[in-house]
Amino acid sequence: MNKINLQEVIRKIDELPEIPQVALRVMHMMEDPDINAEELGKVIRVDPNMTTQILRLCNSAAYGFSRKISTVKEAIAILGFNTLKSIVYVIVSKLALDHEVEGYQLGKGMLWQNSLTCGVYAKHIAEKKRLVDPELAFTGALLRDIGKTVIGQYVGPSYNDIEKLAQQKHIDFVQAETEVLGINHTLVGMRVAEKWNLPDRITKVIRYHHEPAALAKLPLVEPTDLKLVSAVHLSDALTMVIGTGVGSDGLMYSLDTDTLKKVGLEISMATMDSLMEELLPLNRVVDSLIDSFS
Amino acid sequence: MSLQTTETILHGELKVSNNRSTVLYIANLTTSMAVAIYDPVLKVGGMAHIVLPESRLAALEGEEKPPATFADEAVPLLVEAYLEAGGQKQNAQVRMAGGSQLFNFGGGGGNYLNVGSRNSTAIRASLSKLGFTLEKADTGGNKARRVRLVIASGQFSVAQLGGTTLSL
Repeated sequence: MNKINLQEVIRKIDELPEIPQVALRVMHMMEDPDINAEELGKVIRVDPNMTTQILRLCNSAAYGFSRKISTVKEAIAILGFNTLKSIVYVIVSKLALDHEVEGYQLGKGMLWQNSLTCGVYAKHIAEKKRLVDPELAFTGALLRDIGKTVIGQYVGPSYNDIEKLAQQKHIDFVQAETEVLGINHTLVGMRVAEKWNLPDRITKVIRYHHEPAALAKLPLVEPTDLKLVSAVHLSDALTMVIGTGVGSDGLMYSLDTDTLKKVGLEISMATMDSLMEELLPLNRVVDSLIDSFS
Repeated sequence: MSLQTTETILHGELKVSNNRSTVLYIANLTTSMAVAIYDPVLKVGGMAHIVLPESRLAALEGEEKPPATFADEAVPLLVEAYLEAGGQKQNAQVRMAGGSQLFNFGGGGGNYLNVGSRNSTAIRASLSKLGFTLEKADTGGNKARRVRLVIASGQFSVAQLGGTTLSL
């Protein structure tokens, strides 16, 4: 088989584009429960590009405010910290994900569109089912596949082996990646999250979004973490099923209904159909997020 | 050679054209279905991007609901638009692609989301009710597809990501 040299993968992670310092600082400041709006505004204003993009996103149809928001201070007051945090992550996600990922046959923009869609769906599911903070679900879903940008180039040449193994052994594409390459996109994603010092909860989403049962088995797992990962697991499946920015790994994944039921999600054909109907109009929200960058 | 114009069809949309420079295109089909009707004599064709089988339990209403979201509503609308654009029923070539499915092992989660096979059944039933025959189809499996209908030639090509490209 074609095992990857792990040192090479770590080197590739180090070569990933750096997150702008201001975004990184803002992301960390927002993890502090005693965050001060005045200080946050000052940090953001240091970077004019970041300021402009935040305001464009705030005023996009995705956030639906009728009156124009024209300063960062106003944005914080109107949208609140949590929403502003998601907006900063959307900006970071464009830098990290808006590239061609050849190995998964994802043309430029496809992975980013797929990730925004999964984020918007996860936010809706978290909110409607009252599982976790919807903005946290959005952010976790948005970054869940960051590892694909690193191992995509290795998946390409081994694609036939991975696909064959998944189909023959009835295992998810992600497990077949591990068997063929010695690593998979969730493990690589976790390393990226650690490099960027992302919050622990987001790192868990990246690592376990295909395997919520594995998270459930960990000792002392927080119920909130399991709910968060489950919300993203379901939104990931529905993003594949509805079909936006899906690559060559296609739908070669399973849905862990047992864990979803454990966190209180009602899973039946009727509930899934009606959830799909609710999610479809949200594709327009994704379009407006993307349009705000053009 | 004339320049081609590609028109992308999003979820729940349908488009019909009698312009020979038009190519109708669906970028990412998974469980959804592309249904194409084409008149090879008059060079009129249309395609719908159908997402779910039935409108019976529809939660979507009004502007929220793109017209071709549900198979039972989309197929009659596609046929109507095809006939209005000049396509003839007796010439109609009907083809279909899509309807993939999630893996279905372990917890059996794929069964709750087997939209693809239900879409296929609903589309076949709706076509049959209107007296149209499905000629060719590439459905099922676990891969995403890209579909094109070239109005000038009637070529209906289906590319599976990570798989083969077929011309139906």
